[in-house]
Amino acid sequence: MRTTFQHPLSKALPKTPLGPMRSPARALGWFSIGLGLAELAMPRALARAAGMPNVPTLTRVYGLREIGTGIGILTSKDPAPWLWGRVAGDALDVATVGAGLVTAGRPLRTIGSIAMLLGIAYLDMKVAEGAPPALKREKRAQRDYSARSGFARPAHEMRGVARRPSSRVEGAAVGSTADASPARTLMQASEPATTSR
Amino acid sequence: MKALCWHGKHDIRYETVPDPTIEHPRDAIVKTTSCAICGSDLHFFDGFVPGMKSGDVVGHEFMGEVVEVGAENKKLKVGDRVVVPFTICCGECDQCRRGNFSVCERSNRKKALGDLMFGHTTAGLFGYTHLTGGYAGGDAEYVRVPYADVAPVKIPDGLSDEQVLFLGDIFPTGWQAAAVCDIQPTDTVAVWGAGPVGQFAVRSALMLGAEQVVCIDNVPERLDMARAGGAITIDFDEESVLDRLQELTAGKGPDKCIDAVGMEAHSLRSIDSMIDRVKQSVMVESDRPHVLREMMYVCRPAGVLSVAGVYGGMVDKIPIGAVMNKGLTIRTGQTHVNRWTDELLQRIVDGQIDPSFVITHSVRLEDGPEMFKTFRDKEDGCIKVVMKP
Repeated sequence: MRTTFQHPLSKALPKTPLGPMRSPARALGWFSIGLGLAELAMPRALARAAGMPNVPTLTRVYGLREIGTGIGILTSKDPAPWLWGRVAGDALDVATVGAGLVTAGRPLRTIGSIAMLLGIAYLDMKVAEGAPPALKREKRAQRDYSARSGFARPAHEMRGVARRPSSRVEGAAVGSTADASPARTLMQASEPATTSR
Repeated sequence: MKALCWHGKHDIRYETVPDPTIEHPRDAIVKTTSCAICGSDLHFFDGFVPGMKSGDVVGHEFMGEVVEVGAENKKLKVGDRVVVPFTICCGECDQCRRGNFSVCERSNRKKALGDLMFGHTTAGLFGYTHLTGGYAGGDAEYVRVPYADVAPVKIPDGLSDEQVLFLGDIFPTGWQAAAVCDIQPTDTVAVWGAGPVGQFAVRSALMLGAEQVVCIDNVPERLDMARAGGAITIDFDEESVLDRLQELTAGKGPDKCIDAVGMEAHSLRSIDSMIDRVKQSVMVESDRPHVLREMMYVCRPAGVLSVAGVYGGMVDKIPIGAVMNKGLTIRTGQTHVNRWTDELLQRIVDGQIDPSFVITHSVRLEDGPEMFKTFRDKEDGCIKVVMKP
């Protein structure tokens, strides 16, 4: 009976049926929900921290948007459209926060927030770009290399061959190094030669 | 002559450049008969390695016929057929005498740059940035080989180019990656990456007696090829690498871990790599070390991490606590090619292995620029490209 081991780190990671993009997409989904809740719960504090205009109603609407896209990413079989929705939302966020340069009076905070938003937008785009082909690509070899071992004998017979005193594999003669070995091995190369460059 | 030249990120051109000439009495000029695209070439192709200049002739895997020899070169003669190792070594400095050819102290003619970048210079390399000498590379009709009385490996009759070409880099690189692991008969060796170097690392680990070799990748045809070479495979798109390695080792972890991936781990397959990718784009981190992190975490205590994949600069968030507390040993470095070439050539002659198994595409040199893209994108089942000038 096959024993199943699970690594402790693996236990801590979320499980989802979304294929290879599952972890990044899910992470963005949860991030979206978390940010959305924060925008709903404390729009003024968030606006101060981000150096954006103090517009609590708009911030709460954005919070609802974040929660919606987050749920979409986490529950949809194809999260790509929801991820692109995040990218569009990022553009909206940058424009809104950017207005803080004029109205909020904390330009350094505003610039920092914009930089962070651009980083998140980049992440969103990369995940959105990667998700559709990764999820839809059929995993099938483009060519058959299943017979390309490089060995003259079955692979299991080659185990430890380099540890055996006699190394020649019968029926696999391909040449001779008798007349071609380097005149000296480099480990022994000690004769002084000429100048360096 | 014609050559492949770098002109910027994703811009390799087939163009006319001046013929090389003998610049030093120990030089030789080699007429290239076969050359190849290496995975590490993709690092400058993708713009992750600094130190390239527009017009640089690229390529460091090549072989051919000697057509001209400097007056003081007593090793080679016109007509010799040679494979040229990618590391240029003088054969005389302290490091060369110790067999540490990839850190030759004299062959990097731009030593100051190497010192600045790495603390101490490393050997000169063909076609691989001005940090390593700015030497013209081997993806060309002719190549000037410095210190040609030292490293070039003479090839006997009866062996095809395809059988011996990889003695210049990827076969010794895969071999060294396994050899420095000090493999024991009860060992499980895990190899990250089923590209060309990973394929040779798999076979080398098997030949060196590992009880179990595991190869990790997500490209089906590469995993097929690794299985053909005796590996158990893990498709990281389909299953948890950590869980599967635990299962294969009864919860102990692999004894030896080989990184045959390097600085460009998939940027969309793990959260840490995505963060690395963002950092790369704003130039606060140069490499994506996902494989290093995973190896450090999963390796059995007192195990060995062998790093054959190329890294170029700075990485973040390395679990050094795991390395220290588990007592892991890290072995790494560019390949000391000539340490292994005599032995590996003999193994080819003896029929133990035919390295041509890895070639999937054989094209003309002028098709090189297109094949860089095909190879990078793993299109058309591409694993190894050999070009003929």
